[in-house]
Amino acid sequence: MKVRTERSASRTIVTIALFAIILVSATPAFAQSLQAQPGPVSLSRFLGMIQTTLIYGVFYSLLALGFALIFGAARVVNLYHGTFYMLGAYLFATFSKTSQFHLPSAAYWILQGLIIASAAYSVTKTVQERKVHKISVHGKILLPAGILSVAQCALLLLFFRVHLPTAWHCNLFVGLAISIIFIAVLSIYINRYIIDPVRHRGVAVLIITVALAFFTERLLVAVYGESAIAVPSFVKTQAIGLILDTTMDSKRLLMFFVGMALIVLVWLLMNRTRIGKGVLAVAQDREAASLMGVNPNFVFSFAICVSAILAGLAGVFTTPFLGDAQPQIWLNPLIKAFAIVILGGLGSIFGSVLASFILAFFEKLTKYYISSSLEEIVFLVVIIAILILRPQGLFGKKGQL
Amino acid sequence: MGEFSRSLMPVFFAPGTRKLKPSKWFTLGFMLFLALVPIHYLITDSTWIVKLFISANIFAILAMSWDLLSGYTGQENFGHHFFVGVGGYTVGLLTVALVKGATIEGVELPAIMGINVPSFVIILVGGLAGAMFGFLIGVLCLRLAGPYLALATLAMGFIFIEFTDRILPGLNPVLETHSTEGIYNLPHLTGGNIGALYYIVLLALIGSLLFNYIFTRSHYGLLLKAIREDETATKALGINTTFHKVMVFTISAFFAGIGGTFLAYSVQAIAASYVDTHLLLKIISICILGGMGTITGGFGGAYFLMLALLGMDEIARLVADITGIMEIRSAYKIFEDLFYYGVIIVVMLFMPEGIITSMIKKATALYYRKSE
Amino acid sequence: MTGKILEVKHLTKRFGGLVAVKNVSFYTNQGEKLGILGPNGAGKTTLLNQISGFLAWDEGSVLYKGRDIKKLKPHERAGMGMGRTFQLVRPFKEMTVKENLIIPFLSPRKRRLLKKSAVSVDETIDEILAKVGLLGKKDTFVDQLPHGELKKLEVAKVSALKPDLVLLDEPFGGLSAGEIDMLSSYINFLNKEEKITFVIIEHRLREFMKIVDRVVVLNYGELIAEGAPQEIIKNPLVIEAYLGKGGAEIAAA
Repeated sequence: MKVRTERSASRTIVTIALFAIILVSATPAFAQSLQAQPGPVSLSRFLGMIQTTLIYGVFYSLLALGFALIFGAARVVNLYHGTFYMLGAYLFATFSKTSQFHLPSAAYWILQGLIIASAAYSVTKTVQERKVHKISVHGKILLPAGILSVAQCALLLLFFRVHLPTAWHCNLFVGLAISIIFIAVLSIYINRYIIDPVRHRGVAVLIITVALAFFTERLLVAVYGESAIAVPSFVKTQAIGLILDTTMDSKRLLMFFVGMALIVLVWLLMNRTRIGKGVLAVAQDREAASLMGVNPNFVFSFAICVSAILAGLAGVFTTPFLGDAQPQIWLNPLIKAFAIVILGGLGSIFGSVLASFILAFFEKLTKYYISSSLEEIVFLVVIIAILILRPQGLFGKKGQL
Repeated sequence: MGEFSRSLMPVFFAPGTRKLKPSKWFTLGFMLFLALVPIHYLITDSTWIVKLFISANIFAILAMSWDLLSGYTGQENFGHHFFVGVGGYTVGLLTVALVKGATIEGVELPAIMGINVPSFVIILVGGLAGAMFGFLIGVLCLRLAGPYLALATLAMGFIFIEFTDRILPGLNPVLETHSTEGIYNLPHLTGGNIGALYYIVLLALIGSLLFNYIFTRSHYGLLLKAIREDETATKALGINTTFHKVMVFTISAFFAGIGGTFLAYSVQAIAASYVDTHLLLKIISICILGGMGTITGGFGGAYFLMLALLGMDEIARLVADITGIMEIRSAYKIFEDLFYYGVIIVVMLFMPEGIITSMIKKATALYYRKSE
Repeated sequence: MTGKILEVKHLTKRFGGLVAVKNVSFYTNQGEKLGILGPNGAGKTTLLNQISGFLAWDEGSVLYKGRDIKKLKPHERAGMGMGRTFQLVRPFKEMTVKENLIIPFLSPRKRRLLKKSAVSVDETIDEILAKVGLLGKKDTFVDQLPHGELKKLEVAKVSALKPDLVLLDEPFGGLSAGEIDMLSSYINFLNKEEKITFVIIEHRLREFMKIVDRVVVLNYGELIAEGAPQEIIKNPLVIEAYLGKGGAEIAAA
């Protein structure tokens, strides 16, 4: 017999209430669309809104899911999250079209020096460890070796302006791989050296990550300049026909499918693998999980790595149609991700997926049927309303503040 | 509110005290120095030093107001730029509405009502407007704490920027056609006399400093500290923490509004980009440099930052002159920002009590260790 | 004032499917020291949190000085003279002992009371510190105090509020025998001289029995026994609660 707990009862109520609200909001739009002319124009506008909602829902999910992971597992608010999104776009653009960029040669020497120094450092450290602990170090040298060789290749690609073959989108895949690896490694280092030392003071984490984000923004401005960079896409822009005479841009469709696949992958990862379950365990009770043999530090690194990859991939696939890569594009996704996670409530990582769609719905409803300049405000107002009326979020537990 | 504590004789170097308080003589001396700054302008007829100090003073006011709320009372407010913006836009809008001469995107606007309102009234209204919003937001955020409060206030800040950037111009028929630009060509506060402007800001700074000093050294300050430390225990001792939290929000927002009005007057313009998240981070970083939770630290931090940036600039110029490599100067321009943010990160990692406090503590520790 | 200063009637609190406090009713007479006993998890702290206002209840009522206090917030109840301490001490760490004691003086209740008397804040604080044995450490920072003194400080802070009723949550936790004696005599002093009624939660029996006048026992959220200390420890239900089923026989043997 399933015990009807307070939490499941409130969840049911909330879900029903939400559906009611969405139906109620959507109905006038739908009715209007039918009423106006029984013809393709208004109905297609309505369908267009639904389609845009779905697409942006997936986009926001990618951002929010990662953020929820870190927030849930480590109770850390990572304001650098949006920057992973931005870096994904920038790095992908850079490494897939390396012939296009002209970067200062001083940068080459600095980076090359860094790589050599890191290689030397890893080697000496591993050799030392081998001497001291007399353990096999094959495993330990493998990862740094792999990362450094990728970094070296990336560096050479970049500065010798290699023309990568464009057949079968070879260059794009190379760019994607390099950018994702870079972001994954970066996230782990940020977790270890920036966030960990100040983890115990919540405000400090906020400040330090946002300072780092601004730092990265300025760095990108220094390297790439203030104006936008074109981000290539795996598909050419073309309108693809969907149901009932509506069309959708191919780039958006690509993002949609890739995003859905990622969401499913993450779900599988969290629920079907040992590591994933460890993450969920730590999210619920860190001490109990560590008593069960789950290493919380590993989980934190894993969580931030996955979240960064998700954000990076979101950047790669969204910026082609959203307006290219600019140094300031980290702020908006960050706020949205943060807000959606709060909206969805702590306690449920996938509540944020649902919340993303809900938010996207209200945003696009406003955009299509009220006024497009109010779009951003809607989302902010919804967030504030939730924080004040129901601080535990839509699906969270009460008292888990 | 209670009796004033008599036992707090500030001391400069004192091992065993938790917070370093500059001695009275030091503070007075510094104030005297500040009072004499405009002499430079009189002598050399170039305004850049005076302007620099004006800017530092304004940031000191802003930083102290933030620290009162977030550092001292523990309500981390990541939307402080909202209050600053309210103050600034009060100046902008009231000037457009009441006084002649403001321009938006180069178009001079006729005054809607041609009343000549004295500027200090506008400044006061700016402060009060800030206080009003502070009260509102304080009430709205009552149940929030920690990251939730940070998010809610951050969101409020964004609402403000969205509003002023996109919606505000659309509302007013006069402003309608001019979208993202701010309001420019606001009249000079003191009719072009930069010395007078300097002294007005200095006066406000001293007022703010005195207020904060007395406020926090009094028993009420102790109460705020208790709220920060442990709100539950404070409630159990019969104190209405909700009331006081809203109070501090209001007061903090008042000073932020005043600072905002000066900000607008000092550059004679106001735009959303002047009061966006960059401003917030600048205020927070000043407080971090000076030590969060010690309100006068905001004051020190503002000057420290000004001196640091100035110093770095000078060093870059010097090095470029000496070595003859002009690129160093232009490279420095780029690296200035990076250096600034990098310093914040480093300070947060290694000197969480603020640069000045940490360094002085280390110095005193060394001194006392050596004398053993 | 005589009579029942605190009356708890049919109090119930549910957390989802778990009933933490179930139909608990008891009262405290003015001037007495009532003990609330029970094994861990019996719902004692939950009960305390409800009485002091930090937790709402689902059913029942609480009358303090004859008034229904359901709508009052914690600081308002404290304003009415109901103080409480916490199981894990909550001192204000970044302040000195004296500063910790100033805080209750800033509450509206205290300021009202101060107006009537001619004594200054400093003197009153010194008095309190002297009685509790912390006068020498007036200006030390609280995080340098040992645990026993923190517990004393906790009670001293509450007493500074000049309360009529004080709820103590496991005041003897983590204390040595000597410290317990000192704290007990302080509690007795407050009870006799300052006429403070006490409701003391504990689950350690020996010291506790010497200090209380009357005991109620909680187990799994329900009141299972009530009476004088000597009778309670012989009560088979109580023994069972602590030692498990069959415990009564073991204890008798």
